[in-house]
Amino acid sequence: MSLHESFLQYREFFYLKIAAGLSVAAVVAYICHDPVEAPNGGTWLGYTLGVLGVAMVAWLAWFGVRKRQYSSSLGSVQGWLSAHVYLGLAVLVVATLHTGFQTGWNVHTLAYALLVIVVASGIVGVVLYRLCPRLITDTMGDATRRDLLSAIGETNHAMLRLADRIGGDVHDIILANIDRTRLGGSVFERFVRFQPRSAGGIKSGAGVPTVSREDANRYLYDAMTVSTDAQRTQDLRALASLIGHKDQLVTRLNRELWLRALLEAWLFVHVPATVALLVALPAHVLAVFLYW
Amino acid sequence: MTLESHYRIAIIGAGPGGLSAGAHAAELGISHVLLEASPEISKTIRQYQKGKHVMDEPASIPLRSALPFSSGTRESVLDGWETATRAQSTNLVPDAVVTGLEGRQGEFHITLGDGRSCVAEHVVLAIGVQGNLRKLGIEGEDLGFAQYQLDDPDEYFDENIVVIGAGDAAIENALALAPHNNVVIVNRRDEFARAKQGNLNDILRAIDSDELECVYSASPVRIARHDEGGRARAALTLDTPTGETDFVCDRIIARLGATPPRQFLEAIGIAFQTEDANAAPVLSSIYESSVPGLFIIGALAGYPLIKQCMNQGYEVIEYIEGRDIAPVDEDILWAKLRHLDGARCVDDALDLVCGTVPFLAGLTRLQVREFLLDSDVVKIDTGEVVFRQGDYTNSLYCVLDGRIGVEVGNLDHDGSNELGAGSFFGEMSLLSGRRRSATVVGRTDAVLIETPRRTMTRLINSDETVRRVIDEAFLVRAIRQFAPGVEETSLLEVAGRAALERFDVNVCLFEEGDEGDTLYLIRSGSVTVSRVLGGREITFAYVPAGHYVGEMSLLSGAPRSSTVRAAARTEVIRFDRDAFTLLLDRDPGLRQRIEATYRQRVGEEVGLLENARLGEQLTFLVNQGVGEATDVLLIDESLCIRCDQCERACAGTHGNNSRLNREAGPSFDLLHVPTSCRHCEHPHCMKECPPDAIHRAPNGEVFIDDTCIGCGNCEQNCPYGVIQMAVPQKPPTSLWRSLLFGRDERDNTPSDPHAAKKAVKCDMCKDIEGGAACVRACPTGAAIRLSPEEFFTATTV
Repeated sequence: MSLHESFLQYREFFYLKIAAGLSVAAVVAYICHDPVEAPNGGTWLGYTLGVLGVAMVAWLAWFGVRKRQYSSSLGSVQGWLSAHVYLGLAVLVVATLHTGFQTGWNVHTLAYALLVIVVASGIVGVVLYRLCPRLITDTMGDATRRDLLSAIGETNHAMLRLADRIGGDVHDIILANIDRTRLGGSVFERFVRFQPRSAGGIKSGAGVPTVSREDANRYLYDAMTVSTDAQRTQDLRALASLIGHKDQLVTRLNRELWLRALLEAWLFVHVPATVALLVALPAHVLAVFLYW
Repeated sequence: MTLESHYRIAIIGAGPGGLSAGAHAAELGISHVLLEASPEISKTIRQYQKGKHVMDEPASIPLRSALPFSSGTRESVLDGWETATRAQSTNLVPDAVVTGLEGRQGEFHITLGDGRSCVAEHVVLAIGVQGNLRKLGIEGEDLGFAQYQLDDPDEYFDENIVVIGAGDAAIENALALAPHNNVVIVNRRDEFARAKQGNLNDILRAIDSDELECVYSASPVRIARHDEGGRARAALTLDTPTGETDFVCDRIIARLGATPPRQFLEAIGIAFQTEDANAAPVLSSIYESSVPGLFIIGALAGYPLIKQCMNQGYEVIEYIEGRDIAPVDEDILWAKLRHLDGARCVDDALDLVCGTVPFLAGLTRLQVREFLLDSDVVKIDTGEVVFRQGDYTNSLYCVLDGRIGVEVGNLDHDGSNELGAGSFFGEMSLLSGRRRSATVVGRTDAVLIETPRRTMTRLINSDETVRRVIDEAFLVRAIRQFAPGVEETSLLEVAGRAALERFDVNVCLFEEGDEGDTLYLIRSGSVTVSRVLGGREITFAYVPAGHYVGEMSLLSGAPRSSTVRAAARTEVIRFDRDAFTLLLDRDPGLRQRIEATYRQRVGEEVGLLENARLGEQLTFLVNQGVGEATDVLLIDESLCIRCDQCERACAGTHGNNSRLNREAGPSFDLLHVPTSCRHCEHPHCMKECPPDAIHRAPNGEVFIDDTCIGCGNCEQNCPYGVIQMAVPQKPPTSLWRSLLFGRDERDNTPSDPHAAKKAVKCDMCKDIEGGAACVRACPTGAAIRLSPEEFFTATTV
């Protein structure tokens, strides 16, 4: 379907072309430029690239403000993001050439390192933006988070009703299952893996350590095989399938939470590093002019 | 108050009309009595549901009464009347059931049920019609099981109740009883055609979800006593399409409407307009009946609106006192009509308007007054544009004076013609709900009457003559646009052979394999074209109003190659083979144009049928009701990062209430239709908006203005759930403020704690430069807004 156009393709890669042109121009100038000393930030080209870099960083950081200005008619946020991505890549070229490949343990290199972190995390962000949305749809289908939560709630109720009928030991297991169901998990768990510890797992009784779902199912199957009561067997079977159903719901929800977390995770590097860069950059400029 | 022997004026019935008459008589110090059959005033309004919002329509007419009245709850309205009636010392006599009325002007003898009596010089009958409810009229209705009213539905529990009727009262009763009782609703017809849209939606939903049962096409035959375990119950026999069926129940509630108490009135000597049971009595312009000295006002006279009744109550006293006061809308009308050449008074102007505009000539004076009250008289200069082709306005214009030019410019042809005094234009957009199909310019200085859509729709629906005139004009003009080569003289001949047909949503105009001998020109709504492939129906084209379908088979003689189905409620003009041949004969260029379209369609079809996935997406979109949309928000889920920027942008630009729900709504193959307004061609929300607060802007945006009274009708009527009732919220903490001081905890609180809830919906950011905020704020390009034509072309190219 050709209805939608992603921020990367925006206006037939308009900003990619601009960014590429800028980068090529900077590289050509760098190659042609033959300063007396080795290339560095202090030559006329170095200053030019430096000023350009600072201007670009300031403009790139302004994106955070622009995307919250909902009434602004200054271009669309999609256009801004497209430019942000491509010019953000170009600024790395400009800044690198500005350094003249000189590094050291000083505020200047700190600023450069921060810039690299910002751009690198941005690249990760772009990749995630292109990958995760489709995976979320695959996971969720038409369902919303709220739908899954209420489905889990309903399944819990259904499991308890069945377990009540079966007996006290099974009831305890189901109660433990409900107690121990973990959605999302800690921030760390959400970032590194989508299946939080013990999700869908079952604690087989008070004081007994958590067992896996397979263990719980085995418990139910064992109970089934020794059961002589047809109704009880049927209930146990129904319960096992409910546990499976719920496990699937929980897995789906956790996967969605994980994917959604991923879409934001990179910002936890990108934004603080940007703030740090916005502090380091004036320090770098000031230092240059103070120690001229 | 006590009853004396002689009065100048006796007013019968203490509803809004009678009370207003009594209050005005009291105010003027005229000897009067106000006789009310029940113990309290205004029985009908007292029987409204508790807390019901009472409207003060029509808003354009001012109130003329010694009593107060403005829209509000049932309680506040009644309270105001009671207080004022006491304060004005109206001579109200409750529990006075009039059983006899005879005599003549100057000496009417009135007898009450308890034997009391009095004499009055003049009588004002303001008894309404609710005292004369239509009865079942079947065997056994007097057994005590049948009732014709329901005061408080909460009084009944765990009963089997049969509600008979298909109007709003029956539906409202059935729905109110259903939660605590076992309810069956009996409908004589096979649909609820008379009900308000909101009630219709509710009852169909309740029937679908088995909250109550509905028996269609059934009529009651008899009621018998059915004793069961010592408990007397009723056995109601219904005549259904499958034969007679018995329903055992505890209670039968029949809501069959009310009629004037004709027998009683005819006995007094009052003449009626027709034999019809609902006919109004014959009245003079001062509300005097065929019996001199006996006046009739209010619902019985045919005016059911409260404000009209109250004004008539005031006026009738003035008339009896011999003062010829001008109608209440005289000044408003004069302000509109005073500039008409040769009009010295409103009556002159009305004569002029009715004499010029043929379709108004058949209306009563009162209808014309109402029509003009809602309309505007517009003066345009030579060369001034009334509206442009492509505008989304939908009012109707009548030419009173001067000449205007209608100019059409499109791919098929260019053309223009001229209209003079007495003609009207704008009916195309009025009927189709689509953009203006032509530009209209003043050829000379001209005077026009501009009538809003709602007034015109109401008139067309209530008056057969007006409907016919408008339909005929539409037909002739549609043919002229379709086949501009047809000469004026042949147009009527062709129009005579064409027929108008209506299709409900999802109904087929024709199916694949049918014999094809008809061409359909779509006048309103839209259709989809589909074909069955591998056992599945694949939609591959969408044809909106103003275009035609069915030409392929007519030209080739082959059976229908595809199925055409209404994508929304659709009206078409149908040309059979003869009419079509006549058209081809009269317009030599037409065949060529149709053949060109035919070739283009075949080409598109081949391309699309190769891409089944696309077809499935189109089928999905049509099933989502996108067919009746003019602008839909579509999200590409492969691009959507679920950041909800769209919702935040919407809230940020609209009183901190988001009018869209990104996550809700169906998806298909990565295409998501969020819950957000589609700006329908014929917006469901516009129906039944009491203050007429919902409009369509020239660019197509359907929006709600500040006059919203918060009644919730639109929220109920919208089938897509995109209207909410909300109060404006405080703006969120600004970025800088939240960075420095943290978020304000009072976010999401109403900006005015006493503000009433009003309806809010998407207005497509019509007042914001740059277009819809949701789309402009989407960082990844996942959210776009499109018209059906746009996405159907985008997908076919």
